[in-house]
Amino acid sequence: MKFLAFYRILPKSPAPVIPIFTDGKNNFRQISGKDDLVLEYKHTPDLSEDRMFISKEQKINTPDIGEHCIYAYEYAENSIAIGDIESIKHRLLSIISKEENISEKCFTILDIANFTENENLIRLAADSCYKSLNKFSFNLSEKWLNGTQLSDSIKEHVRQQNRKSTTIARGKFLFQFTCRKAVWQTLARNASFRNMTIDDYLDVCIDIAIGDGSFYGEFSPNDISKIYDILLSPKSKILSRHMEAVAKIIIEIRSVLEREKLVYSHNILEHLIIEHAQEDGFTKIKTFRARITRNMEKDVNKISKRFRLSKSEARGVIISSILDKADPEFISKVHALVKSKSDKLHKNFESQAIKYYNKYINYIPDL
Amino acid sequence: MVKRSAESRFSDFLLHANEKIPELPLVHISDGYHLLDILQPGVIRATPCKVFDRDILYMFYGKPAYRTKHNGNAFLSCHLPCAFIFKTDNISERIKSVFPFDTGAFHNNFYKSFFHNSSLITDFLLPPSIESAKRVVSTFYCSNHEYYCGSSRKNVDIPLLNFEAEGYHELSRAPAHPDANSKFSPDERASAIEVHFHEDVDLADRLLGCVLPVTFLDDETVKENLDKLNPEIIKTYSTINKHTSEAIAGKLYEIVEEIYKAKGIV
Repeated sequence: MKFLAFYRILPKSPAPVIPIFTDGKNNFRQISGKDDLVLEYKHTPDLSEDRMFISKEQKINTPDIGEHCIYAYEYAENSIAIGDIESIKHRLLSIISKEENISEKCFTILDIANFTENENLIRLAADSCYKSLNKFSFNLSEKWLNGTQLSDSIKEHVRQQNRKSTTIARGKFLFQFTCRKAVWQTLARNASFRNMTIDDYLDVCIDIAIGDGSFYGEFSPNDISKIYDILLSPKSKILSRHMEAVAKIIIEIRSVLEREKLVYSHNILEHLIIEHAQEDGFTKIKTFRARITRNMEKDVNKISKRFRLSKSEARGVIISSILDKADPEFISKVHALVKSKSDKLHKNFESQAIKYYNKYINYIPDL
Repeated sequence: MVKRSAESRFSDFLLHANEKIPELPLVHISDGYHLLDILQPGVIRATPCKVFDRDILYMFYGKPAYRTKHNGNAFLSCHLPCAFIFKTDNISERIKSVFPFDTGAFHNNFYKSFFHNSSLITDFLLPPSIESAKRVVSTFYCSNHEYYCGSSRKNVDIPLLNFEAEGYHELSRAPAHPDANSKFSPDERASAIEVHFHEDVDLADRLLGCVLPVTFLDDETVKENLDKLNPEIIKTYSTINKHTSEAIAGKLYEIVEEIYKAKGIV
């Protein structure tokens, strides 16, 4: 029996391939038994020619019955890793880190990780697999994870990892979304203030940015491309100026709120920005923020004394009362806390809350 | 033409069988090599069948039996199979015929030790409904699980001269699981009930489950289409070792059984 060729069972690499042997007339493949020893050579007729190939670098000795089976893995086209079960495990682990062809394929890595029983690699690969499916839908990634043979501890690890990154990603997305929305709404506001469309307003901004508005006349293609650059560049500068300013303010407010351990939502931020952002560099928002913080501090003192709450609890009460879009879990927590002090106080709290709401609503027009 | 007595013996024998047993899903197995041809259009096509001389889409009742083509090379056609498990509720009305076994195997004489040489495939034709499959199971097996695993231990009172039922009873005693030890060679084990459709079947929202080789998920098109087709359960299996048909078929049986257990089907 001699080695004849490798046989592809998948249409592309990386993938395992099957060594095919011949007795000169017929083709055979190994059948493994206990401990991965060759049990027999099984006659395998009608193999497709187009799936057979010979790797240039490999010389293969045919194992006898009872010897270790040969495993073969095509890690890149026509490049094969060969060995008995232990040696191929080592080889595959070293290939994963080097071969670009494999390193991007997380499910292939997971398959190899399971084969090599490398726990750390299984965790990493499973995590990547989940993420890659999550790009399509949460549903898909969860179905896959539920259906895998991975241990419960690895499944929990993957979920935890992705819970964290989903929260971050969601926060990031909302933040970007808020910025974009705020930019466009401030542009619309500025344009409408001048009875202009957004495009016209941007044109004016571009003209101002360039210095004059004389772009007219006949232009060569080269001129047109230059103009394009000019037109696009200031436009993007203006947009990024808006974007930068909005982002800066949002970050500032967010840090104030976080410092004060107050509940906030992106809706609140969005509202604050849109209503108060002005083209003059957003100075009014700073004033607004200072005012609301100053006034709130006075009320925090009042409410904490009256209801015997800590200052941070009192801040929570105020913010929750003002902004009904705040985290409902937090509101109910605060409500429960206040209610637990006494029903009478609770009633007082509610009337106070309405009072504060009415008071603060003046600072947030059109809420 | 004079009607042969064998022609309706088998179906008549099942007429009064209990059909009030839980229903099993239908399973179609595809060669993994051509998975994208199914996933991309989201359709399993009826293809020309030499045995019946028409376009047929084959499924099996409950079992992930895939050694069905008997085209001379099980090794080729079965490698890295993908299973599509269908909920029966919205496709059962499109069933065109039901046979109690793999007709390809019958056509290729793999059941010659069970049936008379003069037996014809059509002698085993059953009415085109899921109830026919349920009747076969309730008659020849103690439970759905026994049908799934094969090796029936049920004693069946078969009338004298009903050679078809007698032969099928013998066939039902063989293990379905290809890894199991048996005196029969693997191709003799297919006692899976075969269900025919004469048209293409859409996959979207009809799948209870999908089983495929894990590395196939590295393909973006596979992921995208799997997401669209929205099977209730997705399961994968390793592709690296154990490439014998028996090992992979055994793996598939285990995985599909896990799906059934998860859904409370068996």
